[in-house]
Amino acid sequence: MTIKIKFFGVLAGIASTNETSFEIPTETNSDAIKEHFESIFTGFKNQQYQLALNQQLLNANSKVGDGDEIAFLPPFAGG
Amino acid sequence: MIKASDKERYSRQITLSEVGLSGQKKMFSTSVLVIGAGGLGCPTLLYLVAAGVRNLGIVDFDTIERSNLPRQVIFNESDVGELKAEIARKKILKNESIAKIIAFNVKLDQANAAGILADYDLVIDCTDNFGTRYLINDTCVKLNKCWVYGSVHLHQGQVSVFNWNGGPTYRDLFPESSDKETAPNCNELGVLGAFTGIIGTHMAMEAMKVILEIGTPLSGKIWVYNSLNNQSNVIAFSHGKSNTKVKKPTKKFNLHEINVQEFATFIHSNKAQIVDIRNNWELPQIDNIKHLSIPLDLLEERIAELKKFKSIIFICQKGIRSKKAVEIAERNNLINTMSLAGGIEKYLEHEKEQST
Repeated sequence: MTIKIKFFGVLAGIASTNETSFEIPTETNSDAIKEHFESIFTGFKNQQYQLALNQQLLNANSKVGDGDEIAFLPPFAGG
Repeated sequence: MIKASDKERYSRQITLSEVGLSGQKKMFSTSVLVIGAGGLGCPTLLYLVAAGVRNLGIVDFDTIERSNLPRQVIFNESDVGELKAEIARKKILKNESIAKIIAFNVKLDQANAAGILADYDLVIDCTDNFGTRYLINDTCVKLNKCWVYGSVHLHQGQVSVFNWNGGPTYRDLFPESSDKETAPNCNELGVLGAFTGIIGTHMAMEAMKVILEIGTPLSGKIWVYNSLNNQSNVIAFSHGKSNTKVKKPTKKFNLHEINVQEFATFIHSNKAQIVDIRNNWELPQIDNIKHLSIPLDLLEERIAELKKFKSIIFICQKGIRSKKAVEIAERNNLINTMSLAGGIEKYLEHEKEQST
């Protein structure tokens, strides 16, 4: 199962990419994805951000499966 | 009544069916407060006043610095050292001499926010810090005012419209979290002036949609734009937790380990690179499965060879060393690596069972 991952703002800088695809062996959930990326890019833990599933902001853990898109969205500050 | 000279001046927008004379009157009569006269505030102010917004407030306590000139395009060399709000007021009065423009040469704070915002129909946040942004949000919610938000990070920008006709607010999108790092601003990171121009102009456009009551403002949606690759994303959000539709989560799953059935699917789909991390003398060989061989001891020094693969499955005899391989790979920022539980032995057993 392939899921698409998008990183925005400061998180794209930490991950050194704006987007990537990610293979998962079976359906998983958004908390597991978040935990996975926080363990690889430890700088994520210090940042404020929200997860969006298929362009909809998530406020609770949610099922993630084949073809889904997860976005890591931090607030921006510059003006 | 709209004067003949105004009909001529604003004719190109009055011609639009969505604007017309009634829309132009809304532009004349709506009061707008722009907070921050910097990279976003300058284009926003210029386009609003040019469109006929004649009642404007400008909040900025700062003075103009030479390094502001490439993006804060209202200001000129001779303005360096002067107050931003005051100079912006003078400059835009040159565009529209009858406009009523108040310069608030103060920092917006808890004590003055409600008093300043109260007199305006619409608020536009062109600031560069979270403290002021939450203050603007909370004051607008309290005073029941809509506000337009925009912000940039390097070559990426965000725009949204909050508290529009009871729509979600900034806190529904980003609840305040004081334990996190504060995002850096343009002074620290750098920015191209044309880019703050794009985002500021987009904010002015959203403000006009709200004023004219046309189209679909970015309420409950945040537009995220990347100028380097021209990608736009619109992410929807709603009020707090109660209204969000969530797909019921499955049980927590280990993203690092796959079973033999899943491994078989991966071999079939060709979606992951298989890497055998056993030593080359270990048996059985797996010539029938397309793979790379990198012994575990050499993995760290040969990790660069794997960076080109998006997804990798490490395999070994029993699935113990392959877990270590995942640890090493993740330490080296490979984001999608998995280990075959039970190893090659378990997989071959599974294959045998399948064929009998």
